[in-house]
Amino acid sequence: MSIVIRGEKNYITVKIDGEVDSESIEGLKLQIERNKAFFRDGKILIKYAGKKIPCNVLGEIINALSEIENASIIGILTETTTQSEGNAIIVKRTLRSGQSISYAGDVVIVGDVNAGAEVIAEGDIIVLGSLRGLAHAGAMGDRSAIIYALDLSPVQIRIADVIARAPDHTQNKSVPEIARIKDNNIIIETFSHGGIR
Amino acid sequence: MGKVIVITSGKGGVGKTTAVANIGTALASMEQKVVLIDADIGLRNLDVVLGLENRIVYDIVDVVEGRAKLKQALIRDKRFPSLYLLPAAQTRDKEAVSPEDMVRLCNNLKEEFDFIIIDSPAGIERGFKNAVTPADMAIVVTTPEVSAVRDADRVIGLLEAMEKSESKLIINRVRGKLVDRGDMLSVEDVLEILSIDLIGVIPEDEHIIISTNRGEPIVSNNSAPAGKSFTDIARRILGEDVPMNMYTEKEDLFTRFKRFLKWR
Repeated sequence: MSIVIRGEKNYITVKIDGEVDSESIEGLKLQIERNKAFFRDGKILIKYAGKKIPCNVLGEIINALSEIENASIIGILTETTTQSEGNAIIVKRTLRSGQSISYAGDVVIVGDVNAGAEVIAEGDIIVLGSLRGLAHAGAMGDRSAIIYALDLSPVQIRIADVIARAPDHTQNKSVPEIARIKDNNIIIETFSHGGIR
Repeated sequence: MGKVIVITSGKGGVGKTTAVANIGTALASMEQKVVLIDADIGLRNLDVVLGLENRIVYDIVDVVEGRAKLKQALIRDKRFPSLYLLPAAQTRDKEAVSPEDMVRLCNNLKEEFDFIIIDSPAGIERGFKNAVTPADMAIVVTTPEVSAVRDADRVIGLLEAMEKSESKLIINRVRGKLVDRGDMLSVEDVLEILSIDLIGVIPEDEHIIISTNRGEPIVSNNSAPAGKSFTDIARRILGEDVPMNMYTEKEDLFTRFKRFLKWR
């Protein structure tokens, strides 16, 4: 049970964990009081570590936040919405040898990633084409990141801090596959219907 | 106004110079006024392949640095009067010419010639930039080898970044037997990776070696399969719709039957 405040690049997150009691609300008020300059003109994102946020809790928090000069709330996220919280870019071309994309989020490539090209994402990598180059998903350490491709035949793939290389003798298959971490190893599975996760 | 075509590859030894000499000669034989520019300063070859080495007086660096007029440096081919060569300097390096110099040079040549074909050096540095910057169209040469295809892919990416919209592909030195056995990348395999328009497939042909050493372009030899393919490419550049020979040697039932009859 806690309220954690963090400054992000363009906004401030107020992260609520578990049940909120009057003590933590008081704590929040105190923090706002002490760090007026930090909060001023703040754009605030409320994150709640649960599927539903009780109205009275939200009300109390908003009450506390309303003490801030010129503050605005840009969003309220619960566990059910955090899946779509991340940002993604869509690259609508083939990445050729020597070209690279790196992005602090998910990367979707509509085209191929040729050998010698690289894609680095803090989130997932989805290639709607052949992945023959290097892909590094969860580059900032997110071990739950996945790499998906219609034809997954990269030289090497990396997820977070785990590296896997292609077997020396590759068999010819052209079915959609997903790479993910399981027990500290990268495993590759053929894609079965019913969602990536 | 003429059209500037650069022939490039990334990897060396895949047949850029041979392609320039032969496509240029073929276009000249079709009554086009053609000038070939050797942009491989310091490692000039095009003059040798054309058999014009002994006629060089001035070169491209002399023109750029103002020691010679453009007209003085152009060498007329000994067989085709509408074919000219602007040779590279051998004693200088790529830094002697800038991309802006090349654009200026090509703009002058465009007024008089139908086609300006630039022979790009291998690599992706200054020499490549010199050769590619003035071009209206790029022809990328590759062979069916993984390393050459990788370099071609890199070069196509660079061409895209330089907004050269018209890029075509030549696949050189295809050996039908190896492809059929599955020991060589097929034309389809290469196209799947590079995904650009194909403008010609050249079969492996030992006539090329002979013609290169003699300094006589192979398109003048009617019996050489590679010569025929280069002529077809020239016709495609002129807008003709020429059917593409993929050079696989897989026999259909009919040819197998014919062979069977012959054998008996």
